[in-house]
Amino acid sequence: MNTALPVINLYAVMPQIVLVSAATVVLIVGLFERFRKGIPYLSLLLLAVSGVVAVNQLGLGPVPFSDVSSMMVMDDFGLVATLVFIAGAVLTVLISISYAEARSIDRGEYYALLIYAVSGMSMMAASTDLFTFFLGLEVLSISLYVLIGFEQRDAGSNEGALKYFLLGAFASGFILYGMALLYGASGSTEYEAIARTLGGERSDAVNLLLLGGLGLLLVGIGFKISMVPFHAWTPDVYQGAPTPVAAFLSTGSKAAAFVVLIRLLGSVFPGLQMEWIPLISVLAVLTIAVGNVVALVQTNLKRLLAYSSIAHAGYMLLPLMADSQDGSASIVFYLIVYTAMNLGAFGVLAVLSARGAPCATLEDLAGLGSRRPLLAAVMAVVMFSLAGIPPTAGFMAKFYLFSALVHGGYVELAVIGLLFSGVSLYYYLRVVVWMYMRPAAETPAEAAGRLSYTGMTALCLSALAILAVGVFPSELLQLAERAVMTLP
Amino acid sequence: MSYLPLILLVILVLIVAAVIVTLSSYIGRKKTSASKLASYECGVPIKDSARKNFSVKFYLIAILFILFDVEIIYLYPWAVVYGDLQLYGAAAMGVFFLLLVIGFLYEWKRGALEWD
Amino acid sequence: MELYFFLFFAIVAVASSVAMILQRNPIYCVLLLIMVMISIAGLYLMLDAQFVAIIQIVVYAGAIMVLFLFVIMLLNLSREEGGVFRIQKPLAVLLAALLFLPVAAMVMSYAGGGTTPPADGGGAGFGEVEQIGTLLFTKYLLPVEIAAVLLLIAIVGAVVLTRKGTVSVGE
Repeated sequence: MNTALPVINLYAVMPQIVLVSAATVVLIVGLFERFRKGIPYLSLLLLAVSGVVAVNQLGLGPVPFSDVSSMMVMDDFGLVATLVFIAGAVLTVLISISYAEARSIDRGEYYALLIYAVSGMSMMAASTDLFTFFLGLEVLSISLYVLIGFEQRDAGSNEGALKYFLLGAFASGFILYGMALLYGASGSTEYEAIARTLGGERSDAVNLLLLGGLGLLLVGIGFKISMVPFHAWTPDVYQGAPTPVAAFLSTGSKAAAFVVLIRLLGSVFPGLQMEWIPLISVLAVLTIAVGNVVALVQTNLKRLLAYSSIAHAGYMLLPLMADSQDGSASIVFYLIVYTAMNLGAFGVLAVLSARGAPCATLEDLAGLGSRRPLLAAVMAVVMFSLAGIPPTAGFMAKFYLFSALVHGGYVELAVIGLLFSGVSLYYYLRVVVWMYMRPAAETPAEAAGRLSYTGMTALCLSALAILAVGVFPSELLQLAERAVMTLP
Repeated sequence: MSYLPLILLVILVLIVAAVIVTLSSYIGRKKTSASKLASYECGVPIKDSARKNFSVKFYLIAILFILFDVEIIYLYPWAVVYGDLQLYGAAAMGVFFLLLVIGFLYEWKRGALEWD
Repeated sequence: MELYFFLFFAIVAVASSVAMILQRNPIYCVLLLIMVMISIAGLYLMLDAQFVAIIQIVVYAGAIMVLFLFVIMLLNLSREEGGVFRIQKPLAVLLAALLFLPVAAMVMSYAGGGTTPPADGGGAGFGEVEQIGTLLFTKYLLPVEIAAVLLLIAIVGAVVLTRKGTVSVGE
């Protein structure tokens, strides 16, 4: 038997290759105790290298991995997503340094797994086949299970890891089942082939399989983005996980799932729009409502941010309905801004927690405005942005998102979203009120002294970015628009 | 019906097993005493229940075993088609293997293979 | 003939899984699960999936079951304690039945409808190791390499999570 060998295009998966190699290098170097202090900086360097590789490939058009099957494709959409993930990881590493040292979890594995997770997200974003999508998802998920449970001496961390693992494994099962049904219907796992089956004549039986497959996929992805009713894990896991990991979890893994959702719903399942649009719109409204309302009564900041992240997932689901380039671009824009905002919010907690007791409740923030003015200012910017108050990036993100929705003809959904976003003002501004208007406790939770330079750099960078994008959003919007242009 | 030998083998094994057990239970002499009914007739007297919490190390060994066991799923078909794929196949498996060897070295250096 | 084999394997599989769920001794559960795995391997064999059948026995019935046994011993489970999930049990049965119905409907409707053959399957040598090997290392090369990354991460995860460290319980 003579096999025709495929023509492999390594260039197409270069960002992923670089990320996996970077993580592996960090893992190996981390084995040697004498390099312990240098590991985070090595990770930053290697992440930067991967970022440069991805930037260099922007605009080089869609290149499939090989000639026999695409599996993964290098297009602007995947590359921009990868860049967002890398930026998120860089910020996470920066806020991790002091936190990890204080908790003595500053081991090579921690940073290696973080980069492996980024490579998994990048694989998900570039996938054009259910196979690679699923494997990317598992690379991400397994890294996250371990990262969440990394603080081994902490019962909460263990609890969070177990909860996320059990539910995550269950969600993976749903996704696999859905993939099996889609394969049964179309005879292939490639997005393109499934889209072709959807586009052509299809019998009732095939239709049923496709619907079942889509439904099961949505359950699994819904779990990852904490869409109601699959959100119950979110507050517990965020609360238990090491704070920088919670930051990464709430931004990166959610963004990766959204990127896949845009690719799937936009280019594979438009044929089933009649079925999924009502479903998603109901679930999105529920997600926004539950997230915002439950967040009102939270006093633990990590839980508050968890419910706020549920609400934001709901906002980002809305433009999927509009099914337009504008809609997808507004989601990408929102994802970028959301990454900066949420990393900033969790980052403040992480930087404070590195000095003594974990900073977790609103009371811990009391008097922060006079105690640590710079940090409080960053937190205030982030909170204003999360609430969507101009001139922050959060406002621009919400503006584009709702205007795409209105253009798509979903005015009532936009109104509901805006109403709940008004509700959210209460709990975001409450954080600011606690920081500036409540006197500090007798003994502040965190010890006096300098905060970590790296952490502060990351926080100031994200706060500045939020303000800059809030004032000059067009550059970033162009990037988002360019990214979705390459989608079929 | 290329599985006929396999089926015959399975049937044969079942018959042999059944015959041995039945015969020994019929022919064998049964004189029971307390020490004969003990789990280890000629061993150390039993002190305690065998149901104890096992160390997590067993679990670690088992999971590492599975991970390398999964590797053979890929090695086996690769070995079968190696003749066709030649250098290409060697490169493909080389990357695969490299990653797992790194994993192996990692666990070695971290002391996961040592009992204490 | 084929029907009898199918019935044999199917009945053994279903019967052992039902027995496994009803069985309260976890060690017996594992043994019954091995029975399920082996009979499913038989079903794979009948579907011309020889390789999958062998893997099913080597990896699932072999390695993964050893892991299950270790986990049971690790947690020192003796007998399942009843009464904790009083409301959940009937609820779970009800939900499972509700979930089963649409899946059954889907399969039933599919049996009559046109089926889509796999894009890269069928023909001579289908399911044999040679064909699987060729496909794995040509068309599915990328997933295979990602699987290696996945295995590496799993190794790291296992080592990290089981390393020595005392857990302090309580907030």
